[in-house]
Amino acid sequence: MLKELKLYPKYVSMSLRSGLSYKADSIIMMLSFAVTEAVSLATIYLIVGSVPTLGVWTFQTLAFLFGFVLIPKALDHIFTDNLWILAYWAVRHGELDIYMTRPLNPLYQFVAGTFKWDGIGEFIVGIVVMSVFAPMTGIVWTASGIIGLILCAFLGIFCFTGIKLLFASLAFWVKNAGIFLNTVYNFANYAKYPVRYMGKAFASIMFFVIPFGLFLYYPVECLITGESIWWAVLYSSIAALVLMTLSLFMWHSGIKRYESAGN
Amino acid sequence: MIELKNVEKHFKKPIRGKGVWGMVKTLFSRKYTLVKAVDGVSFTVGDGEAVGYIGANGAGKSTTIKMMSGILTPTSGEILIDGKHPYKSKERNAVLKTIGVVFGQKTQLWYDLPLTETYELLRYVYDVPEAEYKKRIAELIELLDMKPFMDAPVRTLSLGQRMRADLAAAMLHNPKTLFLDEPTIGLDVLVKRKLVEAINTLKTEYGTTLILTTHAMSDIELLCNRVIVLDAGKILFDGALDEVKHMFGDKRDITISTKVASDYSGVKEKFGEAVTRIAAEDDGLKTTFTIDAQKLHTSELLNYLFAVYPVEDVKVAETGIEQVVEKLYQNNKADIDGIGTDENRDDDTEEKSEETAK
Amino acid sequence: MRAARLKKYLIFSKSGIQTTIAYRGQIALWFLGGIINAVLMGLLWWAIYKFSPEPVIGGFSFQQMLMYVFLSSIVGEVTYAETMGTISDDVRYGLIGMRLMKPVNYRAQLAFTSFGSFVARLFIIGVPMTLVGTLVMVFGFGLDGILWYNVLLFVPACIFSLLTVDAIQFLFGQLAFRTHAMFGVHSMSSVIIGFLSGAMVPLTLFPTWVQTALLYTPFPTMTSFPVRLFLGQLGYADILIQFGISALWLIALNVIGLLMYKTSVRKVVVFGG
Repeated sequence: MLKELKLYPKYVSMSLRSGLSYKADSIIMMLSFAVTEAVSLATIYLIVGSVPTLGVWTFQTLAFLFGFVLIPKALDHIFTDNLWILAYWAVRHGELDIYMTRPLNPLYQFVAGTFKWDGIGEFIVGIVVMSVFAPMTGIVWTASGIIGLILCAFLGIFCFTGIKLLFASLAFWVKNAGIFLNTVYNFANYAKYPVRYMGKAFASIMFFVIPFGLFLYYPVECLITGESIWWAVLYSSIAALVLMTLSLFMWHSGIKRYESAGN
Repeated sequence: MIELKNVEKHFKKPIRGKGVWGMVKTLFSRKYTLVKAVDGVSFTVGDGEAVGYIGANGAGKSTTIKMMSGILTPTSGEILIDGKHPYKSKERNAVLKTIGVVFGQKTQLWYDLPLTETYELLRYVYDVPEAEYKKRIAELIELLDMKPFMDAPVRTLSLGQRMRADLAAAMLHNPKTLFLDEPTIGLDVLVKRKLVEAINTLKTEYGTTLILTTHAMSDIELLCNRVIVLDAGKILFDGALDEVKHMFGDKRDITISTKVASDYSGVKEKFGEAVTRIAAEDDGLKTTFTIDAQKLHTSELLNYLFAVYPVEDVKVAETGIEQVVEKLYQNNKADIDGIGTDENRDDDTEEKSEETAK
Repeated sequence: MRAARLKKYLIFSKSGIQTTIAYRGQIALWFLGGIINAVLMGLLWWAIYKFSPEPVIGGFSFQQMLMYVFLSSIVGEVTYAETMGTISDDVRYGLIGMRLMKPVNYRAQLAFTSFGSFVARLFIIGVPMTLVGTLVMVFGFGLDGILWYNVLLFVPACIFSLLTVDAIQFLFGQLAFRTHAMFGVHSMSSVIIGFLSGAMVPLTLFPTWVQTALLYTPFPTMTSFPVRLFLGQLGYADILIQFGISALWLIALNVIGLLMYKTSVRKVVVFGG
């Protein structure tokens, strides 16, 4: 574990310098993420703008929620983007081979080798939107609330990574797991909406099955309703723990049936 | 020491249905064909040995190498490298530190960065002390003649250069064993020879155990002292290189073309047993002499032919790996037939369907 | 002579149909993803209408809004084109030079291929799904205002939509000659087009001045127009004007696209592709 930590800066610097030859591409990608998120926010504005309030939510509070969702999403994107390649490509084409022959955790090597700094576009949009709308939400800001929210964002990274790894690992069974990962990952976008009011069935799915609602929506709802955010911290910790355990288990049982390629 | 004990590797190939519904059904059904890529293989390789692992496409060579180097987990049986299993998560790091792997069709080098960057990373991955790393990299650059392209991004290297660079990457941590999977594939003759010579130098210089799969018999002849022949997942032959040559003879086929048909009984008279076969084609305009290379030099026969007959064109062919495998297979089958069993080659790909309720 | 030329290009339409049919499993799975999205949007609108003091939002009753969400995802699926993807692949893998040497107009080839794919998608997804969706909405949810001639007009409106999608993709596709980051260009353009064409939110919810401005752009042709036409929200005059605007834009987009293509080709000739 120590070795992995010590090597991480080396991997990041190699990945960054690798990307230097494609700088323009990265800037276009960053712009594309920012535009996508801007459009997404505008969509929320247009939809929610047609009613004065949605239960406890207003456009301002939903915009704040929107900004919050982007923080763990962006950070997970920066660190573990290669999991998409795992889902779509790497297992089918036997690209894990070289990582398996080195005395270092293969999953770590596969993920650490790609550092997607262009995800910073989403992160900046998230921070800006949160800062702009925070004063308009009517939330009473306390130190405990702020620390709790930061903790939730931090735990959210692991939840995102866990969900991505869980469904990307399906590739060991179905070869191309891209469509499954894509469908599940899309649910994260719906955590930006007032999940609790979108029907019991959907809310239950978002809280207990694909828990985007639990670690993205719920913390902000706590702040708005005045409930203690430490409940959200507790639930997010549980979600992070369960998802990481489950996904690592999936990866480990998957890698045992890894078939390389050319058979 | 490397030990394989009755190793098997099976792949399950799902039987795919047709259309949308078929696709959905494939996801949930348990119907599959069982392919035994490696089917009960056992052998032991001692330290410092150089083993050529040969067989036709799909014979299971790569699968075996991939199991020995920690990529694949055997379905059954056991693989021990100095007493440890390369595919068990607790033991793999210890094993992997003592081996190096080169794949002809894959690279472990960072595509957009100069070679030194990958080597630096590998130094940390394998915990090579700095002083030793410096000494070794200097030696490898010298031995493999890599100086001209050390600072170029890997994507600009030629295939031959890339293979040498990959070889250096695999040797950086002074592995006890080096696995080479089709290292000369796609290389032209000259580059191939250079690479094989380089591997040979590395082997003698560092006393590395070598396990190599290849299609080219010449690679094996230059590098290995032992040959294992695999067919349909089973070992057909395991023994010294000389033994193979002895068993099947070190044969050469020399084909000459002439304008008119001639009588070649003089050849037989002059060389006797050294010429094992004379076969005519095209109404005698094309004739193939098969000779035993240990008794007769190709040049001797050619000199004689040129002197006596109106030779227009000459072609010399060595007994290739395919022929060796073919012969081994025929011998094997003859043995089995002799005992009276009627074994079919296709038995190794047996169809098995299991319907399991979820 | 002309007939022979048309015949030559119809081969591309045929191959478009065949490719689409060959990949119908994949398409069905992606369509399933689209349906899930539509259901979730429907749930969001359900919540909105529950909290709305008015039963009608932006000119849509709840039933109409559900149908809008469902139908716009079908239109998106049916008018899916690979024009931009093909151009960027051809440029990246150096096939463009070969394409230019063939006695076939590259632009026409792409358009005819898209059209073939459209025909196949119309019959695999468009017709059955629209039929099922409409029946469910009319008899299950009490949607009204669907008229037979609007349903019939929906087909030519979808063809206009496809032609516009194809023309815009050809235009953006020219960027492939100038950048390698076509993944970014593709996702950015599809998000912007999706938003401005009404695939994410009905355009009637936009501020009035934006709506007026958008009316004179090619964007509504791609989603908003065919779907609102189907729902019976447009009068004769609106429909005629929209078809007219769409046709004018189609001509304009293709002229601009061809001009840009000429400069792109010059680049290939100079740099050898």
